[in-house]
Amino acid sequence: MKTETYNIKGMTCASCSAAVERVTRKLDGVSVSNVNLATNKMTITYDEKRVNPELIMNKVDRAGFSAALEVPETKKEKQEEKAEQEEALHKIRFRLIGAIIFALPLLYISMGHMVPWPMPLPEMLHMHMHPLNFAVTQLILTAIVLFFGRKFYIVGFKTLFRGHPNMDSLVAIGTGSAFLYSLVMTIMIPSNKHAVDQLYYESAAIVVTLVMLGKYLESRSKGKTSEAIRKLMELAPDIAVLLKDGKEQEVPVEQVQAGDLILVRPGSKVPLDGIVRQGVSSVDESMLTGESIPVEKEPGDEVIGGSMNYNGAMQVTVSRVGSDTTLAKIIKLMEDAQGKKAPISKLADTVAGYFVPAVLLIALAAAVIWAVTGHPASFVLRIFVSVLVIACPCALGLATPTAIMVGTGLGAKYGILIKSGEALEITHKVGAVILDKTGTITEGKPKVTEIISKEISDDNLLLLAASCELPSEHPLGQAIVEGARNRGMQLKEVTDFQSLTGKGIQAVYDENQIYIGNLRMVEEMHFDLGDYQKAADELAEKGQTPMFVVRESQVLGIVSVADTVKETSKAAIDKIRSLGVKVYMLTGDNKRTAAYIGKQVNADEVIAEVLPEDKASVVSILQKEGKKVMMVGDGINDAPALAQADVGVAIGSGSDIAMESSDVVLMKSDLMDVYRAIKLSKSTIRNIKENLFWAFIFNTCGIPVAAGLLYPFGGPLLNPIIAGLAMSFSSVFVVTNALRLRTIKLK
Amino acid sequence: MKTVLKAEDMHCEKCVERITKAMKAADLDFDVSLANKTVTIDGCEHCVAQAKEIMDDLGFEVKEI
Repeated sequence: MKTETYNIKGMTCASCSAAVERVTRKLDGVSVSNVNLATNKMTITYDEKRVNPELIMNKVDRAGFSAALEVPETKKEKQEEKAEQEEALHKIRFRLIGAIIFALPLLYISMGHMVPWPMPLPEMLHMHMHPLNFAVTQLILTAIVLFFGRKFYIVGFKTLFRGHPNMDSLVAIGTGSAFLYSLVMTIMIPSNKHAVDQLYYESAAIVVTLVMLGKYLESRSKGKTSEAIRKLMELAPDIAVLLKDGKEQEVPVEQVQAGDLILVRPGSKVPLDGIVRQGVSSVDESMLTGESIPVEKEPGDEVIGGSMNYNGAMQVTVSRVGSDTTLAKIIKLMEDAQGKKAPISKLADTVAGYFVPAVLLIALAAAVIWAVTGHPASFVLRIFVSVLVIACPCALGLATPTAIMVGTGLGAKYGILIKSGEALEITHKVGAVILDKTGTITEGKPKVTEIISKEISDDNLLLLAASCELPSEHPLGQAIVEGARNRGMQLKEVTDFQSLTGKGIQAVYDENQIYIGNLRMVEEMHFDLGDYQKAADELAEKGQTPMFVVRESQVLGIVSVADTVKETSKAAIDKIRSLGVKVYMLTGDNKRTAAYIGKQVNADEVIAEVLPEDKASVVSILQKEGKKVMMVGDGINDAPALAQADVGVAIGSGSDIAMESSDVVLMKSDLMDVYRAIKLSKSTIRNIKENLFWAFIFNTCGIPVAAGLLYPFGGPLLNPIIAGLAMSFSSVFVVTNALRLRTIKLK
Repeated sequence: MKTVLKAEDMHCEKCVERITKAMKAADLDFDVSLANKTVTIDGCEHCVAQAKEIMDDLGFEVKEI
């Protein structure tokens, strides 16, 4: 199966995106097709043997749209996009300032005489002495303000006439009605000077100005929500220092190939992913992994493009370039996550789709009712405009996408990459977390845990064992070698090395025949364990593997090896449990070892002796019990279980397959991030619900008041200006509330 | 013979434009109504079948009424 993203052109409404989804899903071999109208993107998963991009594009073309395979944006393109956004924001600001400059004198002229201490006004503009001057001046000022806000009318009426009114339509109809009514009154002034009392120019102009102010603040805040991706883009340097024929040459990173040798100077950024060949340094990977402590790098270690090299020069062999780099993959994941809709977002879209026509009907109905009950036209108009303006569902439309953008951005800051809005939403419902033991709860690498000897010193026993194990490729042997090297030991050369398959090794060290191996070796060779038998039993009880070191036929001692529990595992499991989630430990180990580790980390339940191919079944059993299951694993053998789970989490950036099958990728090998991911999801969903709640409450409470429901009982009527102010405030409130997510501490 | 096809998913002018373009290309005698969400085909059974196929390609689910 292959997943691709296409840019779709020609879509104007939800019906268009549904049509594109429907036709592509009909293609034999397509399993998933999701179209996002906001980003004009389609994400499609298909069987490469039965479908190809040409077929997909053809199908979309026949449906009346056009599709083009998305090309990943380069850093330069992203910068251009940023410049375009800034220019657009600049234009909005220019129009807003223009509108404010003309709206303020209009407000002064029209309402200055209404305040308790009337404002001075030239006689030629006096309302009752020169009513025509008074009205025409307002007409001119209003026309200029409406010109600055002409976009509402162009877009609003266009969509209205197409039968698909939107929020701009509400503003356009409301303020347009107020303006036209006032215009008619102005024309009537020469014949009836009392018509001057029924001017609503200032309502139209101020409402448009306030909505423009709201839109400006909203655009400015929305720009901030996508900052996370932009910051990541800016991490990658443009230039790399290529080492060729012993010479240094500065080249654009695009020209560097996998396999090239590059120089990373101290204080500069690592341009691409690679393996350190020469040099030692501390590297800050915090922007990519969330790990705040610099990581020591030495020859053989992997470095990530975009990380900061602190104090030493390193020669690095480039391993990944272009879209294969870790940074490019992270950016792609985040873009996809922010482009994919969460189910809760679809609900909001549907509601908003019915909302605008409903509001139009309510406004019309209210106007008709007040008109037939004998109220003057000015009163009816005030009701009509107020309902249309206050009901604008901008806040409703913004509630979910802004929170998801901020939530995924915050996750990335901690090295938690959430691949879709859906994953972010489901994560908060998780009732069971299954943690794979090896590599997830434990380090995944065996380590020397205990050394027991009565015959020689611990150090000498370890040096002897490690020297003999040096040629061995067995993980347990390598663990002993690493244990000695970590203690700074210089290993000695051995001769006549031989592997005893399934039992251990033998070699000659200092002219002595040495055997290192398990209990089976000891028993088969009839070595006398003596007091070491008891120690070995105790070690096995603790889930460790005792390796017996024998010189000639004398047992010198035990070097015990075990996969150790990560430092943060127990605390993380306790934290996960504190969220009301049950924690399961899954392992292929025998029950005794599994129980020991499970008890150490305080897991709620331990499921042992599970073959890799049966891991997915364990997930589905828990799902059948009605639980939303999160599976956390790091290896290829976890992939089916990750895919089966409601939320699959690949830990420690995982294998490529594990990453593909997962919904969430944790860049660090730290279980605390599982807790953080659940907490982040809970906070984001709570934020979305708050946003939706306030948007709904605002509209549902505002509409009846604006429609004059309280008026017959002595209650207030809503002034259109207040309605405009309140409507703009609700959008700004929702975006600001979403941005508040950035401040939560995931600890 | 006139056959009316109901397309509930026809929501906007863009939908009408797409239908019109495709029907014209197929040389069919037709009439689209956004208000009623219908496409009326004037022609034989073959024309109706062809129109249904076109609507399917455009992503609309149609019912004959």
